[in-house]
Amino acid sequence: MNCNQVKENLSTFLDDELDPSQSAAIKAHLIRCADCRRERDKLELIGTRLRSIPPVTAPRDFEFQIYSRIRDKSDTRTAPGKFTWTKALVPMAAMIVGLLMSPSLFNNGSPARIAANADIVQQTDFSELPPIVENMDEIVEYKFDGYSCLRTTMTSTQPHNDTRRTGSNPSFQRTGNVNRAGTHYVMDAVPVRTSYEKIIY
Amino acid sequence: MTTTNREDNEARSNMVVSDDHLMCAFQKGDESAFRRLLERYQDRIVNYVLRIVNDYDTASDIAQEVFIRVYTNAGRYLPGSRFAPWLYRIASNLAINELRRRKRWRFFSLNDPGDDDERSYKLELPDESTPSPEDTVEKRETSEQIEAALSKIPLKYRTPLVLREIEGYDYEEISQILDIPRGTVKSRLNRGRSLLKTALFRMEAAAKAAGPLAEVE
Repeated sequence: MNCNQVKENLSTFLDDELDPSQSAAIKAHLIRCADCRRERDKLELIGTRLRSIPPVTAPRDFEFQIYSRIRDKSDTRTAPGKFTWTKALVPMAAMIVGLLMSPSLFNNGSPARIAANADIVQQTDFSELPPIVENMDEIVEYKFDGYSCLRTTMTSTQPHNDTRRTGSNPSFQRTGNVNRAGTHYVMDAVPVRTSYEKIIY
Repeated sequence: MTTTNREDNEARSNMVVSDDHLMCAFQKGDESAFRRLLERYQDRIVNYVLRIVNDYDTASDIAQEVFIRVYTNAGRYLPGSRFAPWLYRIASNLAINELRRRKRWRFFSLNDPGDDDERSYKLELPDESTPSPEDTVEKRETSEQIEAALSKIPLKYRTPLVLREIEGYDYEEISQILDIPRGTVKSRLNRGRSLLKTALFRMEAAAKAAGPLAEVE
């Protein structure tokens, strides 16, 4: 094998996916070729660095969210005439396009403004609460100028670390542009035993 | 020596019930079996999807949808087959669909430049309220660098690279998960590593070039 052939197969060699004869030929070449050894070392280092990326963990309420969404889906399927996203797709698309034409959209995140202009499209009663939540009102989904938002009031026994969907975070202006809120019930940061009201985008 | 997620998981799972056994139990109505699978794989799937979509919230949402699909389509799982590749295939499809949806949406969006899976990368800002100890700064920078470099390579090369290097799947399994021939897995891994090496080299060169300037400033 020459250097070009070795370099072409080095990645597969490192993955131990070459047949034994090819693998032996590369091993023999590496013994006598410093240039190819350097190349091998670089590729090995890349693998090591990829595996050293610190892992993240799933959100604390991950399982709760899954069961909430499963319950929602099954409610939607079993209730005839109830609001569904597919039925609303065409008018929603029209509203979103209209929304994009309005620069004021991206400056109006106040709860009061949304509450005053919103129509209730869905109400979800939660019988099971995650351990950190002591009580929670039903989650109400509002429609507002083509947007949806979810509102609930709850009391929590612990602070929660996910604050990225709050109205105070400027990023909601970006994440709010596509309406996926119907499937997201995110518990936001709350101080211990403090009742709060939250708009969830 | 660093280990892949799969090696870690297999080491933990050696003495416990197999995924296939749990999935079969769930098919027969054992809800706790689903919860055990969820517990076993939730972090891995969030991490895998995160490497594809580069956004934690989106990755969590997609990962939830992955398990919802498992829950609602449990009947499609073939007893005796391997659960993890099936799960990762669902995750791959959903994550890739999300990136396609983002691209479509960006076409209409006036405000949001978006994050192109092949061109740009949104670096997660460190949480200012919890400053990291100094001795972890260098490690974090190195990790951010590789994450940023990984996000810059095209999706078709990035996905097999993550499945191989981080998740520890072999070529046959990657071929099943991504529904591509084994030869394509080989060529994409080869090209992906080469692109990643180049991206890293450029970033490190840029960091070195910026170093003395930063000191002057």
